[in-house]
Amino acid sequence: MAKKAFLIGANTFGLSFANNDVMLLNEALQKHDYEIIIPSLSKSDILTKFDSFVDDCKKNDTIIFYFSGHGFTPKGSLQLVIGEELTKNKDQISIDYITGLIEECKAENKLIILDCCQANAITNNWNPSQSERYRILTASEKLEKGKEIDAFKASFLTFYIHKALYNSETIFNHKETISINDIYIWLSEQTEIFNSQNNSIKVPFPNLLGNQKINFPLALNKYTIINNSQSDSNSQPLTQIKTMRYIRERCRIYIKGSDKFNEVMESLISNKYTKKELDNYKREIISFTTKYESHMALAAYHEKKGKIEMMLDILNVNLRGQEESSRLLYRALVLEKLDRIPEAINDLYSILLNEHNIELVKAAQFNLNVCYEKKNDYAKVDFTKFFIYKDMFFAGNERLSDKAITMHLIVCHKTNQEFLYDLELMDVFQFQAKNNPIGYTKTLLIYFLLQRKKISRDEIYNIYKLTDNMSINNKVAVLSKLLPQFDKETDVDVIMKIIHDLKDEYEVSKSYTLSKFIDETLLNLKQ
Amino acid sequence: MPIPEIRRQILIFYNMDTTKIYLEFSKEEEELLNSNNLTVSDILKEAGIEADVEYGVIPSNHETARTKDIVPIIIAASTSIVSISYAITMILSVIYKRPRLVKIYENELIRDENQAPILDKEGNLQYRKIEKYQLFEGQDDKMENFEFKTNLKDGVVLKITSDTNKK
Repeated sequence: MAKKAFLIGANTFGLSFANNDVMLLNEALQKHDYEIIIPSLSKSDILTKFDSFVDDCKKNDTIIFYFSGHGFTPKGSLQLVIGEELTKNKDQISIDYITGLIEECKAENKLIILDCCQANAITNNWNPSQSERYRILTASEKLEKGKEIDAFKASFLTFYIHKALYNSETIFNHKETISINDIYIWLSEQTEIFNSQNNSIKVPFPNLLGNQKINFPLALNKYTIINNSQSDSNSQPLTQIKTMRYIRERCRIYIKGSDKFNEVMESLISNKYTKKELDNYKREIISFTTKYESHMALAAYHEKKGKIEMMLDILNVNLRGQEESSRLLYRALVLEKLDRIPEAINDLYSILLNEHNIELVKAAQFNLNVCYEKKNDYAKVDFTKFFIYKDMFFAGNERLSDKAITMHLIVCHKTNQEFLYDLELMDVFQFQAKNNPIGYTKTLLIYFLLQRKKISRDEIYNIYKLTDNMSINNKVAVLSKLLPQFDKETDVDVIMKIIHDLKDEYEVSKSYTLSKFIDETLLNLKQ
Repeated sequence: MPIPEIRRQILIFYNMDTTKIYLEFSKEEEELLNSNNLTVSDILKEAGIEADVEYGVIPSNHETARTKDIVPIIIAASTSIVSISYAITMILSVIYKRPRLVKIYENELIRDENQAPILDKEGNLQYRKIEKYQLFEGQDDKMENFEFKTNLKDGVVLKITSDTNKK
């Protein structure tokens, strides 16, 4: 299962960075264990080495052919330019030759990357079968112009492919494997961001050809997984990462309006609705008469329906004063979720520049910290300054201070700092256990997943006592994570006491969930 | 699609300076040429115009990014620019009946106070573009009505498009 890449960069006709492009891609692919072949820029050397490259492929191999340079299409057929005498054949290579050989080779996964102009003209003679694991990533649509950018010292497409692969642990931190579709989606997002921030230089959107359902992996996020497993053999990296994402995504917006509006928004944002209720909200949203309320509620409704692009369109409305700040705050939250961090930061700074309402300002500052945390720019992150805001709430029953403490816990974990706020954390547990059982459960989960130190038997029991006022479902969710923290050998008496309490509760509630949990716990103890 | 009969011109350029005419087609025109399997050389040959065709990039102004496209460059006598524009637009108009706008960008060297050319960081000459337009509506147009007053000593970019709204 070898991974191999054939890289060509030709600085012809004034291009300056095609060689840099090859070096960048070489660096990124070597990090992911690719064998690299870089031929000299003579047609004979390229073709000889390419023939061997293709001939040596074996079943299960993943191969990449990459070209950076000028592309041109005399009579519609794409030619890769390797020299400057284009009236002669020696200075150009027909892409049809490349695609033909790759189609015939034995490798399982095949990818061509063309960082040149008119790259989509490749489709004129390229028709692989739908089942073939053969994709082509191009810098542009047909007849559009790929670009190299002085500020990057590289071509746009290659610069971002390098970034995606070289920093895959941070960019795709929730994924074990990085597929061609993942990279393409991320590249498209980066293009959109770049074009929105640059008036003078616009770059074309990349294009990914071939059967969209054929989504093979290009790289593994092995370093993230190894680090986690080395530091804590019992840790569950994926669960942990999902938990972190869940925290980020909840309740960091400040949206207020009429009572009815507040009621609808709180239900939507806190996920307190059934499917039927969600449909009913549409009717209520139509009844909102102000521009602010109707747009915000409709955006929240579409978010819950998973129509994020539509939601962003709806949020593209000009409002005034605090309403405008609320709109920007909400949009920043969505952009951050979509990993469009620079745009989110832009919106948040707009709020900080124009807004005076202390709650909105604090919400923007807090979200700014979350954005920088997500970028791993920890020098700009300080959640401890939000610990004092115990009376400030966002949507639902989430206290700003609680969220800040939990986020600080995550930052300490990621930066290997010692977490010094155990007392504050216990306060979070106590408050959430009474007022926000769902938040309590989440905080607890994060605490166990991220804190490496051994939790004492008394601490576990104290946390258990905090579940007294929780609903049965929440209690079971918490206990299912809590009980494994006990030592089965030495703490069996405490576990049995808890089981005894639960049995008493079952006698009253006759809850099936509870009885099932008790049975499973007892079975686990016997084993 | 066969190239239609057009007025053939044979221009002979004795003792005339040659200039580089960079041809830039809009997307639509380029697609039109590609789908008809036509090159600029074919068009010139069909129109009876003697000129060499090379490939290269349009002389850039001072920019912070470079595109990766190659354009045809016609090496021809300075005075043949009108004939070349006429022949190309004529053929495109016949293939696909639409008026065409020909934009001419003259490349004028940027000079300092002492008339010395200004170079960029890498020593390349710096040009400014001077833009002119001519709308070409179809077969009824005559070459005599199709004129540019141009200063061609630093080469010229011909941009041919069917998007006539930009005039």
